[in-house]
Amino acid sequence: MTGNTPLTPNRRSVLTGAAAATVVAAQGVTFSVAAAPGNKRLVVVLLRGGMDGLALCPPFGDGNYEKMREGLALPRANTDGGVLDLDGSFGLHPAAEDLLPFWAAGELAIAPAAATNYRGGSHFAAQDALETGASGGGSATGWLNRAVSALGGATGKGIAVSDSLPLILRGPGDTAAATPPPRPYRNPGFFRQVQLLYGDDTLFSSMIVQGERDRQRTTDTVTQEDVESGRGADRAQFLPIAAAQAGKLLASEDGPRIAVLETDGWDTHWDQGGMDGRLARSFSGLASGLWVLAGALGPAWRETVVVVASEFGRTVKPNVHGGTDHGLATTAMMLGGAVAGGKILGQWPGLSDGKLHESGGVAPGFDTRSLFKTALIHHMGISGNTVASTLFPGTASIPGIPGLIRPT
Amino acid sequence: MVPDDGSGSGQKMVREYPEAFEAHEVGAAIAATRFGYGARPQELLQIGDQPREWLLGQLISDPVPEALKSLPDSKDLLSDMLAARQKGRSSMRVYRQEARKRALTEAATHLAVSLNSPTPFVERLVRFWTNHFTVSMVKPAVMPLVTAFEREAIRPNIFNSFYTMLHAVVSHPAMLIYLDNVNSLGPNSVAGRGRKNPLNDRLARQLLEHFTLGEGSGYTQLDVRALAHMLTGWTVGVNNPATRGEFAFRDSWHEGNFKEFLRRTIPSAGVLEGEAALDHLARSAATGKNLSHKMAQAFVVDDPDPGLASEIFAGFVVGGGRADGMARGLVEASEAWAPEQRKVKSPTDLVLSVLRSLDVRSRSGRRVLNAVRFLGQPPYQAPTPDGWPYSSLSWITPELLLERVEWCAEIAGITRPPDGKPVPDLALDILGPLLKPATHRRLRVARDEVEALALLYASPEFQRR
Repeated sequence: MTGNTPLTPNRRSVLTGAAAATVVAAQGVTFSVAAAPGNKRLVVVLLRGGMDGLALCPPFGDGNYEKMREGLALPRANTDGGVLDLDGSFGLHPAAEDLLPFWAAGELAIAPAAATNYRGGSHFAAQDALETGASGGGSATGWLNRAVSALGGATGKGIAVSDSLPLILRGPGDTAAATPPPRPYRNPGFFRQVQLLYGDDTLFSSMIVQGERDRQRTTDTVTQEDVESGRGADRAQFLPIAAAQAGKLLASEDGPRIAVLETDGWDTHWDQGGMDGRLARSFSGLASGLWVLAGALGPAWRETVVVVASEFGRTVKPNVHGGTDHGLATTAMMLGGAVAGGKILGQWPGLSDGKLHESGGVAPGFDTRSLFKTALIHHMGISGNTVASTLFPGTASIPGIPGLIRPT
Repeated sequence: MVPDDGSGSGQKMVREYPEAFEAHEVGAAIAATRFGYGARPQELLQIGDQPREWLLGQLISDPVPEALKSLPDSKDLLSDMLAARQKGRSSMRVYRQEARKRALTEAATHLAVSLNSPTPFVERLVRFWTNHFTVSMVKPAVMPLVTAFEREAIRPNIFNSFYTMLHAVVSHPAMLIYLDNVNSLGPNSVAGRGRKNPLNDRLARQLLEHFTLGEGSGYTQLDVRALAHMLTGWTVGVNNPATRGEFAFRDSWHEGNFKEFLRRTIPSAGVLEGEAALDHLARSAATGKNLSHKMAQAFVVDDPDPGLASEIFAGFVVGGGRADGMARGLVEASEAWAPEQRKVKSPTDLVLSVLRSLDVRSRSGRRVLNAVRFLGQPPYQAPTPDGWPYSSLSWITPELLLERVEWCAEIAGITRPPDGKPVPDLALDILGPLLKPATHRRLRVARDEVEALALLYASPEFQRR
């Protein structure tokens, strides 16, 4: 880790003109880019760890919200400092207020009960479902990698990788850099690979997460206050740094067209906080990161679609540690200058006891993959047949949503 | 590092994850991983469909391999030490430095023997008993003798009656020095009379608490004291040329009165008292249960259920308490073959299994020694007489796990799989059905060979047994 130094993507890989992917990381935020022909930009933001969608997008209009959410319920909309009202039923966490301008401009659509077809509680398997696009699991390549191929951006050349790629971009098209550093653990992506590997092993996964957190605490230049309060780094706080870099690359004439931003630190089993606290700081980082991204893209924002997704959501009720455990549906978002937003997507299953998923999380009311399909078909212009056959096989019943993209 | 496309043979083909495994493939993988030090690349095939036979066949091999037979014995080592001591302080200092170096060289040689061994189950059993009867180099006075102790008291006896091993252990100069029995005098003995605190009961306490009956098995502090009395006079010869550097019994140090020990009255009988006590302890059911529980912990699971331990115990009972019977009991215990990998490898086991997977053999063992030191288990240097812990939580803490993973990455960066084999194939070769499909897939999509190899070694399937 390099402390707070500005991110410097590998210039060579960006400038070769080949379909290029660069991964840069600071403080647990990484981004990767890939080239594709045309002017359309697609950014996928992955919130790893299972983001608490109810905290980001509180359904304050639901009569059961305050009762079910217990101590985590935020003060009602329209009271001083409470939830930011979106449509009278759903709101935004006040720490995410940087998202409001997008909503006001009709550039943001929110699916408050989004899930893939994955129904278990394993980060590993859930992230796989999100990234491979395979209904049954088992695919070793990411759907975005296959999308890059389908766009013709990477044919023959593949993606030059200067660092570890997220699964979503991995596949036969990518080629490893010629000289990998001798110590893989110096790569920020390596420990995430290890974490994924430990997904199903309770002992190893809890210890590696704790170990990284401990080490982060001693090496990061987080604010002194953070260190002292023992909360450690909230990685999404650093999203704006990576977003600014990614935005600049995507904006340039001959730059890449596809980017993946990843942050971890969303697995809030302990002490997630309410109006303030750890999760609030992460929301603030996420929202300002997206705001910075839009700014860095400049005019190219009009050509951009961003999808924000997490592998699953969390339990409605808090646990005894002041956190939440693995649930099911969570909030997914689509935003961008090319998005016809200002709407809430999907069904709202409700928060009454009988309506929850068996995990104690929100039941699904929307399929996250339809956001991906919308972006690929109606924005990037990949044919619906290709998407159905090679990108998201077996998901014919989950259509893209043409009305979500502005007509050009 | 160059991508392998340039080799002329084109893209390397990686084997698909098999749709199904044969039952015996699970057995072979468990035999190599749980009972041994992990498989070498071809080893699972060699074990074939006879995993139990492969293990039992090892129990008739020579547990003192050739490479160890030329090393000096403790009598010579002790004589050197005594000679240096007689020459005075500065010569003792020189001796200590030399002895330290030699002790580490020998420790490395022992590690090399375990690594190279065609009978890894035997090596695991040696490690188990050596740890059970810990003599640690942490105590400088005993440092030169620790590896010799394993060669003389442990290795030759792992297929013997437990009494034979126990007697060899307790009468070995290394143990007598390590647990301070060499200077323990009977309070009413000729030499001890009138002395302040002449008795040292560390060895007796460790014998009951740990070596034999086990804590909470019903003995009392009076039994500890009685056993300490019986062991007075068990020391190491210094001046008498006949016993110099060897076990010696000094009658003038021995507490001569009769003793009440474990509800029996032991008449005054000199050295025979201690031997009778060891014999009694070695045949006791409580001892068998304690040892069986520990063996189950060392090989199968941190908190073994009574069923597993009782199968090992059944093996112990054969012939009135046999160490090799326990090993057979372990092999025959059905629970020992459960596919779930519940144990975490100790650092030593991890390092040896990584090197075995790479088909590495070592003469000096230097590299092994440095690696196990780095990972927090310097060989023959357990911090306390209780030895290295078996519980997984002692080895997998947040900090230790990070260090393990980093070490895995480090070694992956400086080695390649044998014959340029793709890492996912190597993983299937050495772990067989223990390798989960999801891990296999992670290895296939890893960024490069180095990362794939690092992930293989860091994976729970490899870290566990």
